[in-house]
Formats: sequence, C-alpha cells, structure tokens
Amino acid sequence: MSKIWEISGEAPKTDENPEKILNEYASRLKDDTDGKFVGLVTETIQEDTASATYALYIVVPALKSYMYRLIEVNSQDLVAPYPVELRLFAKDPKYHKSFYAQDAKSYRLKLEELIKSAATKAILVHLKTLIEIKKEYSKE
Amino acid sequence: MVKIISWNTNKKKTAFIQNALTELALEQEPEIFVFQECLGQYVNTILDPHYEEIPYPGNGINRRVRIFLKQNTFIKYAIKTAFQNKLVFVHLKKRGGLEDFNIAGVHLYSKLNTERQQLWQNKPIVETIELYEKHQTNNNRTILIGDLNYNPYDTTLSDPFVFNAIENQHLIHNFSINPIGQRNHKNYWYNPMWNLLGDYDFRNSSNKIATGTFFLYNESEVPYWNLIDGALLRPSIMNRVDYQQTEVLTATAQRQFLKPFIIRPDESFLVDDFSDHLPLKITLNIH
Repeated sequence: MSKIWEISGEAPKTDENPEKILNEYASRLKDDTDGKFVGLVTETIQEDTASATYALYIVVPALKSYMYRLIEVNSQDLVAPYPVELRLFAKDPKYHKSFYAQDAKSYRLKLEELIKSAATKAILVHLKTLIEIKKEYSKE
Repeated sequence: MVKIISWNTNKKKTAFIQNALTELALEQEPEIFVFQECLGQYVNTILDPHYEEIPYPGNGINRRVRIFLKQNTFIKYAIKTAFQNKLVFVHLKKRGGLEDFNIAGVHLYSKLNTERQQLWQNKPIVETIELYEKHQTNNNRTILIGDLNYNPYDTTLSDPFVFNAIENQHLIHNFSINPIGQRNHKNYWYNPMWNLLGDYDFRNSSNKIATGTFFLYNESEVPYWNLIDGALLRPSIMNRVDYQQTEVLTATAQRQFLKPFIIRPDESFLVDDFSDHLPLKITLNIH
C-alpha cells in the first residue's frame, strides 16, 4: 500500500523570513537618522485570502508619532513565503512602485534599493521639514 | 439601556485592530457588537467569554454581518439572515426587560458599480426587514444598524419609496398621525445620524476631528469624511437615543485611530493598520 503521509520539503529558514528581514532594516532607521525617525514593522493578515502583509513604517516621534507606511511586503503563503511582492508608497501616488522578489537574496537587494531610492529620500526630507516647521512654530 | 457598537473591520487582522477591539469591549462595555467585513475566529477569542456570537450558517467565514451579544443579557426569540448575510435580523429582549426589539444588522451594497444598481440591490433588503417585523416579531421596535454605505443626506435614504428615513422626529410624529399627501407616511425610519454631522460637538463644546466614519480624499469631490456607518430607528423608539453616549469612536484610552496629519493624496486619516472605517457607538433607552 502506498503511503499517504509524507515528510518532504524543508522547514522555512528563520533568517529568510520576510518579516524578520524587514525588521532588520527598520531597526537601523533610528541610528541612521540620529533618532529623528524610528522604524516599525507590522503584520496584517487578510482573513479572506489568508495572505500576510508586512509593512515598514517611518514613525516620527516629534510629530505626535505620525506613521508613514513606506514599504509593504505581501506574501501569499505563510509557510513558503517567496515570492513576495514589494510596494513602495511614494509621496506622489504616480510614483508608487511594485516589484517581486523570488527569494530572500533578491528581497534584501530590492529592499535596500527602495530604501536608498529618491522617493524614500523625498519622504524623509518632507518629514524633516515638518519637524523643523513645528519647532519654529513652537518657539513663537 | 442598550449600547451598540457597529464596526466594519475591512477583513483585516492586525495587532492594532485586535488591541482596539479588546479596549473597546473593556472601556465601552457595549451590550451588542455588530460587525461587517469581520472575518476569523480571533474576534470570538477576544470577546470570549463575555460575548456570544449570534449563530447562523457561514458567519465568520464570509464577509457580511456578525452580531455578538453580551453573555446572559438577552433572550433571543428569532434569528433571520438574508442576502448572503448582508442582513442579519435578530428579535431580542433584555433579560428581565420590558420591551422586545429587533436588531437588523446590515452591510448594504455600496456605490462600487452605479448608484442605480446600489438602489435596486438595497431596496429588497429594507423591504425584507419590514416583512420580518410583520411576520417574525410582531413589533416595530427595530434598530437598523451597520455599514449603510449612504451618508445621512443621500437621497436614497430619505426617498419615501426606498428607506423613507428622515432626520426630524417632530415631522415623523405629525405626518404619521396626520398624513398630508400621497407620500408614504406610515413606514418612516428616523435617522439620528444627522446629529453627528459637522465638526462641533455640542455635548462638550469642542471640535470633532472626524466628521464621519470613512475618509477618502478626492481631488474633485467632497466630502472627504463620509458618515456611511449608521443606525436608523423605527418611530416607536426614535425618542430613545442617548446622545451623550452616541458618537463616532476615534480612540480608546490607549490608542488613537486617527493620524495627526497626512502627506499623500491617497493616504487615509485612519491609521493604516486599522480598518478603513471608524467604529460607531449608539446608545438607546431600551429596558
């Protein structure tokens, strides 16, 4: 009689987990910006499709902890998370971008590319300007 | 008193939504929760053991309406569902209470296609509620509550051939006993949501930051805030609203549901890990 129970495949590697990788990049935001901004990663389970979305937020403590959703990572399978879809939310919706990463390596490369992109820099500059305006306003 | 919270949770499960729901249950202590687009067992886990879900085939699995009642608070006489659970109708009475009443939890069709289609999809729902009132409960103390997908001033709500929902108790009373024309003066709904429009809160002389439950910035259209979640009441209970305890909820003691500002035209004022709808609380003097 043929077996119906089968042990096959590999357990997902924790160091390749998309949420964990996103957290690595998020945790660097505070030091890299001298504490002006803090990175935060959250998880959303879409209950009708059972897909997971991880979001990297830029949190601005000086602006009532305003949170900007910068990058969204969508995974259709919680056990085998790749490929994942990455979405960058530019300040102008015309420049929102969407990419796919087939594995953890290309996911890391794409994340770094998005974080270093002009769109991300524009958002950080905008938020920094708002902090300065608020400081000026508070002085008056 | 019957305090009801209605909330469209947008099919999402996030830590923010789960914490917010826990805090709403603890802080507000509503007797009834009416959810729309609220899927998954996590809701039962959070609300257990203080609330019981109204059971019907398929609830929790699809994205329609779910109703939770505070444990040991109500006697349930009848439960009817229709339109793929876009309508859940429950005939209830508080334990030891004086009056039975009906909750018609709804998630009405939206304007996603055309307003004409929305009208023809929603008209049978309100007609079915009327049938249930007549044949299932023999009372007309009905609270229609949920994601109405209409602002209070949308003409479909006030149209006498559809909802016949108006904002003025005095007019409803007068026209009901003294019809002055051909209009349907019998089956009114009272719409208390008009009193939540505008940014000034007359209860405490302050300004509200949310003038609706759903925010959508559009370059060419207003409003940005839409009060599309709401409740309609039959005239028999229209004077029972406790406005001190009726509001759009924008925070719990622990967390704000709104952002301090937005910087993108397609960004919502509601926190991204929250739903795209704010919860609505309505309290009625029903004993």
